[in-house]
Amino acid sequence: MLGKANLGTRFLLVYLPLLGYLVFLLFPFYWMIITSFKRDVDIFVLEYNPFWIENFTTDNYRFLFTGTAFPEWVKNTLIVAVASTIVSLFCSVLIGYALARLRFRGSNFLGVGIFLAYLVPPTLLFLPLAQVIARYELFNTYWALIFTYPTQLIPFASWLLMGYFRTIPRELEECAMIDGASRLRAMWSIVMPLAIPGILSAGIFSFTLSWNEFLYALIFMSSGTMKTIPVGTVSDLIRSDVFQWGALMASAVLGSIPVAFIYSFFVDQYVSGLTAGAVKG
Amino acid sequence: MARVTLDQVIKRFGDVVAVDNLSIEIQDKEFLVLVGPSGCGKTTALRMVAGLEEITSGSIYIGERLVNDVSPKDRDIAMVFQSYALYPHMNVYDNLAFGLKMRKIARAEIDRRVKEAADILGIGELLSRKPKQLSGGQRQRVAVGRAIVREPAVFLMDEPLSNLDAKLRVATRAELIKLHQRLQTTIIYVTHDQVEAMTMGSRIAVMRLGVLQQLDTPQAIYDHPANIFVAGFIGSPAMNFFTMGIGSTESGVELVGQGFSMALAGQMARSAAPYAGREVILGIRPEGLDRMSQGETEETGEIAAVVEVVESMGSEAHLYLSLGERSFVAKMDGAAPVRVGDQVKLAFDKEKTRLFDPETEEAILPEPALAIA
Repeated sequence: MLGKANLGTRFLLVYLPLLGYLVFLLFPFYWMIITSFKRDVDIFVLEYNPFWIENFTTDNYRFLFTGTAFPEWVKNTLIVAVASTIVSLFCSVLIGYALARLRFRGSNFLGVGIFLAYLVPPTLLFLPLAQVIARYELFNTYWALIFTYPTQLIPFASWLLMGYFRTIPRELEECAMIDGASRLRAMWSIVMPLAIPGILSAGIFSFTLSWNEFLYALIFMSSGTMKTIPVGTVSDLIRSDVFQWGALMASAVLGSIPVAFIYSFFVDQYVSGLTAGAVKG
Repeated sequence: MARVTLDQVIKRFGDVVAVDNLSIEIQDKEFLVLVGPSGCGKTTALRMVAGLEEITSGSIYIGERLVNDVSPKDRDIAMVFQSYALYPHMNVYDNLAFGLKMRKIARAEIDRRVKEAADILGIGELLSRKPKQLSGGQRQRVAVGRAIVREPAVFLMDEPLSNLDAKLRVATRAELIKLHQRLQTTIIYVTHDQVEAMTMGSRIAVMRLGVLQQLDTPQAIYDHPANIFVAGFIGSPAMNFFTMGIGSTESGVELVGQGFSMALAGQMARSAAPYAGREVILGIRPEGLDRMSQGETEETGEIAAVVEVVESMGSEAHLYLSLGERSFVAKMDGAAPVRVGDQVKLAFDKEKTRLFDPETEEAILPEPALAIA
């Protein structure tokens, strides 16, 4: 009897709220997915059950690939996201390592400074950055975004990696250095392999942010085929007050796949990377 | 094979002096133990020899070479860390081989040396395992093995036994001594454990607050501690100290303390003479105190005290005694046929007691001229 009562209360207190939360959380995705498979006319027919697909169609996806520059957007987004992730990771690993390990004048000040840089809102930063991009004539090139995204990515990734590097015992490197490795070699052969969870976390963070970024992409790279998925979706699939809901949702579905894919693969490392930095950093 | 010389080495961290004017000459093939309580600068001293800490001033030589500005990898040393610092992502074989690979030694030679070291240490079966799959004792062996394969001029060991349980520590202690005899290499060994220092070192350097207190063989340090700190630090249970006044009787000099007195004769009387009218500290080792038996001589002093606690260890027993407000320890062989509350009379050999200056805490030594006479 007791066991049964326990099960009942547990259901009420744990599973029911969780279930409610899950529905709340996943509903937008559900809505996005079903809408992307509906015919445009059906979306506005109120007699149909709005939570179900009455006439299944892949027209929206077909339109995306034939009627718009969607494949170009994907290519652009991929190039920009991958390149800025690589640039950011390379810089952040060096910065994070230096802040965690090397004793030099002003290292604390520098650490705090980098963190403060992260707190500057991108919406303020884009004005001066736009001038820089204009002066170097980089508008509507990949470089416009590859150079500007790291301004947001490096500060956070550096802090995350600094916290992670601090969790790796210093003696390991000291031992490697006595064993005959230079500092760079010790960093490469000993610290890097152990920092993989942290580096993965920083990489996922950077990739996700660059993949989804909207503001800079809209301003710096928005003409013709040089658009990213978020910008292209909004600018080409909304024609003044006409919302092509089916295509919009199809683009959103395809756009979220890579990020969802990466997260589901690396979720363990991501969590351990973030928490290591959080607890010991 | 090399001598290691520290010449007036100073290390400051900001305003804190971690190592103060340390000069030690470590002979080739010597097993030198740096011992002291935590924060005494022993590990800092070792890390300076390793090149992991820069020295503030002074010079360090390995062999004939000044190594002040030589990087750790070029000092021809190997180090065993307290945490072992095994590379977690490499298996045992790769851990052992890492230092050799860094030095671009031929693969066949690496293989030969790794196998040989694994044989010496009995870790041949573990070569393909990762460090986290090893027990504490096995990890410790791998850490030592990683140093052996390098065949360095000097081994540095930073408390390599402190993470082992008591039984394993004793066994490993003996193995390290054997290993030293076999390898015939200079070893500098840091520990806070005076038993390790006594049993392993060919010489011991006792440090306190960054300052070298005494450097000598274990027996000499035990018999003739340079000051109260060394006397109290080396030996377990620690030496008992009594504050004594100096008076003179018709037969000579006499120490008068709370609850007992002791007539001094010969050399001790002469060295204590300048302290007449002042106080001195008398040090008696617990093992120097024994229950009164027949046949005391002039050289025997005696104390009467009350037993407060009896710690029996089978082969020996420690008696915690009180004498007025003072308490002290005596170490007896075998089972002690005494009970708590008993009044006992203890005898001690006057020649084995030590006198210390209460202000400088230095040992009061017989004046050299008189000692010869």
